[in-house]
Amino acid sequence: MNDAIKISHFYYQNLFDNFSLLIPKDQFVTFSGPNNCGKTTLIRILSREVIVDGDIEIEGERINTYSISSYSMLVGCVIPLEKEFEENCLEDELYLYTNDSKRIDWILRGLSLKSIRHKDISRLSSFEFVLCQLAVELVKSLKILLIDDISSYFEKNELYKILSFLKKYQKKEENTILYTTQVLEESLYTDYLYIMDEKKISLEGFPLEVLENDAKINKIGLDLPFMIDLSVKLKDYKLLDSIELDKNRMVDALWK
Amino acid sequence: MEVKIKTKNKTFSFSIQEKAVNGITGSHYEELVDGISLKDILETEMTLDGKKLNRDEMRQYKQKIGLVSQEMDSICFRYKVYEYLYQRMRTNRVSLKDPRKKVMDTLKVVGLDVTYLNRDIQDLSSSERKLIQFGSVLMFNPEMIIMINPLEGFDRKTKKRIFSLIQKMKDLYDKTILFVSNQPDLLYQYTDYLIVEKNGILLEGETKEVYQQVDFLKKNKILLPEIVELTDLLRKKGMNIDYHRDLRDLMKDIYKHV
Repeated sequence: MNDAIKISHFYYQNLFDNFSLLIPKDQFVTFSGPNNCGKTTLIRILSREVIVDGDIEIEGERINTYSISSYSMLVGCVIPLEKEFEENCLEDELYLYTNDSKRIDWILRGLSLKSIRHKDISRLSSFEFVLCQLAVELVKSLKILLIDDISSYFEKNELYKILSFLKKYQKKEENTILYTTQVLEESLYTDYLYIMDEKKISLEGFPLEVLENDAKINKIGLDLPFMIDLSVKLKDYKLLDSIELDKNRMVDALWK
Repeated sequence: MEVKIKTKNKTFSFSIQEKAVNGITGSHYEELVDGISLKDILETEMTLDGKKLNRDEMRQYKQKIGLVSQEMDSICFRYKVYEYLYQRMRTNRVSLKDPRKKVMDTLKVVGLDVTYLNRDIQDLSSSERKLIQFGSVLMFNPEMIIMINPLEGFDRKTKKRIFSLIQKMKDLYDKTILFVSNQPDLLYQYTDYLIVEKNGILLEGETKEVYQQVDFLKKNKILLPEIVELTDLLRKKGMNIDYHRDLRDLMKDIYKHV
């Protein structure tokens, strides 16, 4: 079975040095790393906004062999605030890609966009605009969706609702989502985590397992989620047996 | 400084601590920030330390305020760094005597070297653009700098770098900083004073003390820093620990008591 994305021994500018990445199909993965490590550049390369030479395969075919139209039906991309909408409001824009009103409703409800479906796109706030970008890509039935660093546009709780919906969406559509962020807590909503450092993948695995490498993650320059950071330290002091994400359960475990 | 702002829809009365990092948070902080930055002078009334400003005084006061928005306007991406900073000097009527020196000095202040002068803004990383934004505001020497979500989206090293610049602006250049954010963990760690907005001003004071009013803030659905939330739960269980800003201090306190 072909992988969704396969990059082998890739070199590019000062960002990727013998870089390899293998993302299986039907996965929601997080790609993280410190600022300027190449997360957005990777997204731009995979969306073909930046054309490169290299051993990059998408769904088993070399990336540069696809026509423009066939690639646009296969791979979608959300880079915040980088989009030109064709229509004046979101609903009209979504109907450009599908006539399935139930699908449109489901996506609008999932992203809490129902109230602004008819709002003039030029009057949207930044976070509304980013949500609309996301809605447009979700409605398209793509095989691979690339989402670049949307966290700074949303409050934590809003973002977690979006990530929960993306998880449900990915499971239902059986496609692949590659999500970049440097807020590692967000990876807990995804299936797999890659952390990049020094031009290569430095850590990878199931998010909770990767995040136990606190010393290495701190050295890379990323912040561990608070509860994981505290849990790992309390484990080292033998005050906790395992990682605890829930505050009430942690308190009960510490203060019996 | 006692401030009273009356916009079209609301009235806000609060204190801004001068030469300090003041946090602003809340459900509709945008309206408060628009009022403080005098976005629409015609629709705003402002009173400072009991004196109501007339329109001319508000226009003069507006020139003392620098605004660092969350994102650089994409229209700036067509410029090189030098061109962008030069345009900002012209817009803000900064003296154009030896503009190149002024731009180079600005880059130095924000920790960037002269090789950035001819770089395209669209090729810069988000942290580099943020530093250029700070520079563009510092150039016209405002008394107050309002920053919208200045640290969000950055890794630990970059946050430290940007925050040390904010500290420099406060300590060396005597600027009053308004740090606007809805991320309580960042506000708790990086601000001295906090203004919480919800249908007006809900609470204000030293950041640590404001966030210790856990039950009141929870009742008003204001998000709390995680370290404060956990500390509060432990204290309610009977553990006599203090509120800390640093996780390591909390760890030591928990270890002492368990």
